[in-house]
Amino acid sequence: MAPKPRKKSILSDQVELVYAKSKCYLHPTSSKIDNVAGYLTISRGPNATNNDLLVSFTIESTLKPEELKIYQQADLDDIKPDASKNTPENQRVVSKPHTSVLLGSNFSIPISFIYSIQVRSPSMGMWYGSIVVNTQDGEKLPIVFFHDDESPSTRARQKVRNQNFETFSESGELFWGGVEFMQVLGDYCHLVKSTIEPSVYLVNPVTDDLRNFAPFKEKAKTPKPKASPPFQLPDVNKFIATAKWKVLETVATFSAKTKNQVIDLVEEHAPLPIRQLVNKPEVQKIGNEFEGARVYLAKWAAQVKEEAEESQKRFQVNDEMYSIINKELGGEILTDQEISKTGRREEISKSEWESFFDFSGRLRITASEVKDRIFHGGVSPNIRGTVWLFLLGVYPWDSSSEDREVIRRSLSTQYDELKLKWVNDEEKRASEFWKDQKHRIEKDINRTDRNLPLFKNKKRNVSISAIGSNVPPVVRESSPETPDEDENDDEFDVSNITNPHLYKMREILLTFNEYNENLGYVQGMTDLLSPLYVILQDESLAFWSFTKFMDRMERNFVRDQSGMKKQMLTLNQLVLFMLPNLFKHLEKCESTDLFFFFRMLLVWFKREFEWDDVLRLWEVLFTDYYSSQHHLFFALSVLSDNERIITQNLRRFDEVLKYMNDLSMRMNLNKLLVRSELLFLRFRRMIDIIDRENNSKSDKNEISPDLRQLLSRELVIQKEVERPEGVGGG
Amino acid sequence: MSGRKKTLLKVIILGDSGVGKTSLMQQFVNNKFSHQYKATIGADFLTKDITIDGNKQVTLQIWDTAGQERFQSLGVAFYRGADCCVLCYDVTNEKSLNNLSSWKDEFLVQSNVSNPQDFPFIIIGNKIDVDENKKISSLSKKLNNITNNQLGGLNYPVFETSAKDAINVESAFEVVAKMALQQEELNDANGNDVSDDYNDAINIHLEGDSGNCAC
Repeated sequence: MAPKPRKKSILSDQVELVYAKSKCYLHPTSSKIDNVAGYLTISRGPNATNNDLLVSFTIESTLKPEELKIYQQADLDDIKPDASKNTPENQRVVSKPHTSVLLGSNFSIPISFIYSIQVRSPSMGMWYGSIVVNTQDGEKLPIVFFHDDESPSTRARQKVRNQNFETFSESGELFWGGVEFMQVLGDYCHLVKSTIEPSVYLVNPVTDDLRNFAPFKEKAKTPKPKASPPFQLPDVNKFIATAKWKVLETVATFSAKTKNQVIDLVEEHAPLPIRQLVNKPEVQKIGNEFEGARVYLAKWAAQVKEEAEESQKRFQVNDEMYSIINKELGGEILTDQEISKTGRREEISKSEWESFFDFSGRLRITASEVKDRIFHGGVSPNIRGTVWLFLLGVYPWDSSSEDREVIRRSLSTQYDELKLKWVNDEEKRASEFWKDQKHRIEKDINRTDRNLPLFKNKKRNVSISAIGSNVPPVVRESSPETPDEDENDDEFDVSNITNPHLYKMREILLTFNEYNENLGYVQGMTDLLSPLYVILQDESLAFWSFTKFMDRMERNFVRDQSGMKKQMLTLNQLVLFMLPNLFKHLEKCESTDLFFFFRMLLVWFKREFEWDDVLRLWEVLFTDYYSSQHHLFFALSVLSDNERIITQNLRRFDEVLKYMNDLSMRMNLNKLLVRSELLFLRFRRMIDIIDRENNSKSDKNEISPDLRQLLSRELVIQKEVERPEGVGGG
Repeated sequence: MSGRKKTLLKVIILGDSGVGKTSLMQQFVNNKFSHQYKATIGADFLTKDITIDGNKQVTLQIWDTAGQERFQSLGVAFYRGADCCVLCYDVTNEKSLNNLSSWKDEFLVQSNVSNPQDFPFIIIGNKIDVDENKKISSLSKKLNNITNNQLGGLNYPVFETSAKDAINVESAFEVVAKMALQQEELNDANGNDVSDDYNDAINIHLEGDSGNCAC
């Protein structure tokens, strides 16, 4: 509904309430007693344009009784869409809301001064929905919480909607006060959802804001005196640079295709100016008559591609690269909207992470929003330990700080109890199976990530128990074969673990055998444990994180290897489905068993990337953002990235294996992450299309259940069967 | 042989986890030893060109595999067409010695070689650089016992090596190369002659040859 211009003149210190929402609260401290109730309003001053409308928060108790009545009435009037029209305008005139310096809580800001608004949905019975207004100056105004259960208008509105079976808003979201507020606000300004932070709406964004998709304004270096935001010219240079890239990227894709079809490709894909150039008779003549011209064009294209990749190396992955990749994949199958959502973002910093939580340490945005953010950006190393405990499920997403402290303590006790099961059982430790397990574990522990400073051997005279131990001394001392009493000084003797951290990993793996009695230690597990241990450096938490990680990884290690076979088979189907030409070539190379993926899948690419990249990849995979088996799409992206080289140069099983093995430590993680996301989206779209076509056809295309399962976020769990009597740990 | 394309000989190294398979391969091919090898996952290979008997140029393709038993059932494609198999144990680890025959059996099952009776195997005991008191007690007696009773009494060449100190590694792989070349020539012959009866005859003939090779 477009607002009608108001003819009635009101005084300069007065405004007319366009909209009012009661029982909005500020939560200045963690105590409920300090909550401050007020009205969130939109109001119009004399001769104000829509841009001058004020968004204000006014504390209830600061209102004079007669004005309070008007506020109450306005709140209730808004229940019915047309009610305001029936209310005489002068009855909604109140004194202009002002920012009270003394109280420090009231605020009032013209729409033109709002940069963005973050809308945080309520969680049923957990916390209230809220909005945060970000100003053009980069300030955050106090968070306004909608206590919908107390607000007469919201309750009435919800009742009406329930009667009409409209519990959810049009977007499918639960109806609550913040949604209503944003709907009304949307009548007076242009709201655009940020593609980076879906919970953030940009208010009347200028082109630059849209291009940057920045959910929050950078804090202004010098606070400006109150004035309208400066008018910004569109960045012409940037625009030209972008256009140039578009041309380059189109040409770059040529080199990905066969050389002889360059001219055809130009016709299919090139932007109009190039197409016109190529279609000129004289150019066509060259193209048609001289093979040399094509080769020249292909070489030129290859050079451009190289240049593009070089530039991408320097500037990380940019938007253009995403398009290049996408075009190589056949971009037309995805919508621009889908493509714009992919791509890598800044990692989550400590302060951003902390802003996700309220005073009680409870998440105030949804877990899926957090996962979206982590999937696309990862997290900063200084918060990784904390974040991973959530991602792995050691801490529930809806827990408070207090809850987590209780969980942490309880887990520590449980860990000690489990550990005592082998520590206090001499008979068990004397058994052949146990000794064999211990030998296997120690041998591999001594071969795990020894290049990390943490795992470098300490001097002999450093006491183990003195170094950063979180384990109660009683357990430490009763733990058998304490290594610092060992006389042996061959640091690479397997029975001689002198590094205290490696020693704790040994303890964790021995204790894991008490937790999971069927599986036993299998090679690769130290690779999975080591990153968890290093980022947490707490024996109990590392142990429990490991148990959670192993929930999903156990299928990689079962005795009959059926879990690995299943994944390689699924991957085989996926390659055939997504990269059919490459698949045909792999058939010729007798490589369709995809054995070269064995190591990559078994330990989630731990051996293929440098340490920091492994951590980044794992946290992305932990989110299960699109699929609990995104690692298969990541594997697919590795193949896809090397498709041309493989098909053009490799002919035999051993050549393919060697090439793939030697990719280790030479891959660009970010590029592959983007590619894997695009591959997933494309996969999903392909399934959609096939399903749709199947509905209208009698001749149906079957999708294998293995492929369809890739759309699921549910973990695929496969447990080891009971270990038969007399079977060792091999 | 002269005038022909350089022969590719495929060698598989097997043995318990941690006996030093990767180290042996690295020492032979790249003449280096590192303390930072990781447990091998999956399989990989390195190649090295060598000259046998002063005139035969061959390329050794040496396959290094994971020692964990359960991984053997997967991806055995790399066993196919093997020309020689190196069975490794650790001279400080009796269990790794006792497992030699399992590794041999596993190999024969998976590789499907045409002449299991006299396919060339070689035994390498690694880590002789360690202190004497850490070594398996009465090792040669136990080893004899195993070759006679479990490995079928065949005279497989036996080497004791140190991949760390580069002791005996070169000479062990020279023998590997010679044995592999013989096997390759046998395979070539098999490829040319389709008669099964004739193959048997060749097998009998070569039994004597493999005896000569024992060092």
